[in-house]
Amino acid sequence: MTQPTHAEIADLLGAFALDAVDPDERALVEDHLRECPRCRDEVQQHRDVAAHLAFAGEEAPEGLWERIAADLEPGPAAAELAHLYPLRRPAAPRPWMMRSLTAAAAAIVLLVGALGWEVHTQDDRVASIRRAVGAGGLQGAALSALLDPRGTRFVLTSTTGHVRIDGVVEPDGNGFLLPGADGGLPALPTSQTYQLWSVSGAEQVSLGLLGSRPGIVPFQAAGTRMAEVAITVEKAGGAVQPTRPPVAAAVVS
Amino acid sequence: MPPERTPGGDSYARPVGAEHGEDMDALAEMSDGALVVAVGRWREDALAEAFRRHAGAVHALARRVLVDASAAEEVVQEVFLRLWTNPDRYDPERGSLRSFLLAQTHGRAVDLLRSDSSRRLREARDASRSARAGYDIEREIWDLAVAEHLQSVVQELPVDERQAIELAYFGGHTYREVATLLAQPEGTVKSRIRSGLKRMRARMVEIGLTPAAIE
Repeated sequence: MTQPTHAEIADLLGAFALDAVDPDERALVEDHLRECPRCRDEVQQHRDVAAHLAFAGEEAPEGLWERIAADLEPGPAAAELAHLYPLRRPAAPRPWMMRSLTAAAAAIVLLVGALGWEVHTQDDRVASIRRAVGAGGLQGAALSALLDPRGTRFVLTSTTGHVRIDGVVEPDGNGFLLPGADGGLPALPTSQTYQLWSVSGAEQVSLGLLGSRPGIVPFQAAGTRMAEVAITVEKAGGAVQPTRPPVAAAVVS
Repeated sequence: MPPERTPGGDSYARPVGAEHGEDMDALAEMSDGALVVAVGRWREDALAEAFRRHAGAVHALARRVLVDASAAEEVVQEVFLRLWTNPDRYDPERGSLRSFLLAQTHGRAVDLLRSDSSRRLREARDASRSARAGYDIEREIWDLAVAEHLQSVVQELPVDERQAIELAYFGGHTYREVATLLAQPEGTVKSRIRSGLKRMRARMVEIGLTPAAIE
């Protein structure tokens, strides 16, 4: 079967946004959307229009919330957490971890070396961040943290240097990851997830699962000694310790 | 005190025993994005606030597509439970929470309609529709707060585009099914759905009704 052209996929976007395509076409469009931000935007625009049509200004039926509340899975119990953590490892750090972190540190030095370009883009970035702050929500909270002078900032860099992810941790341990302008980490199959790790000497502590298509992600790092951070690809559900080399890493100053 | 950690299977870090100090007034003033962060921290009151804001629209769409009241309520339950267990699937950069919830609702409702087990549901729904006169988009949006503007947007659509969108979105039909129903070529229907949605958006922007701003 030949691959459909961009125009053929684009012609399907309206029907796709209204769930009006066949399963095989749906899969084709979804594959395409992972690579094409323009078509992603178009689908979102169609869905926003549809949301207008759907709105009917009525209330939900009586008693529906109570039924939902009764079915809510409770938050994690302390015992479950004790089972998963702490993740202290008696052995020395794996060689791949050290190599990757050294490479990441080298990448950061190189970036700092390109100071003229960096300062210019950084100014632009700060200006755009200032405009965005106040918009509220997760994005607003993350950008506020990035602008907070008390926060510790770092940039996770992929081993190829193509992917950059901004990170920040505030003094209270609240942290955020923000994908760079290139869109951040590529989407994974749903059977896998990205996982964030704090690394300090021999200790590797999970800071949380980032999902298979991470956008802006909050995390909590209170109580961890975060000398380096790394992201690995793990099976959905995560791992209690990294099972693969990191796809991105950073030294946290 | 042990550090707070992310439980397995979860994309947000959710502190155990998260502070629930904010009162309902503070929740009511939170943006949708902040609400979802709070949901990610296992705050049931945040989910309740999201429900208060959006469940009416979510239910209306589910009811509109499925007709069957109990099936519609099941979809609403499923959509909000999914927001509770997977709040990270909502990306504020990709649109409003309402738009996200409605897309989830529509997808689930259409899945139900198309599954074999719900053939009876579909038949019952179609029978119910047959009994209703004057079914069209204008009636569906009659009681909208912005009905006047939206009506003008819908009325300005060429009738072919309007029918195609109506049958696909509210009828839960694929564009191929719509083509059969309207006795038109599949490619034509596919293009009309897209051009109709684009036309509506352009008109909404023109009259100051920003599609993403719906709350």
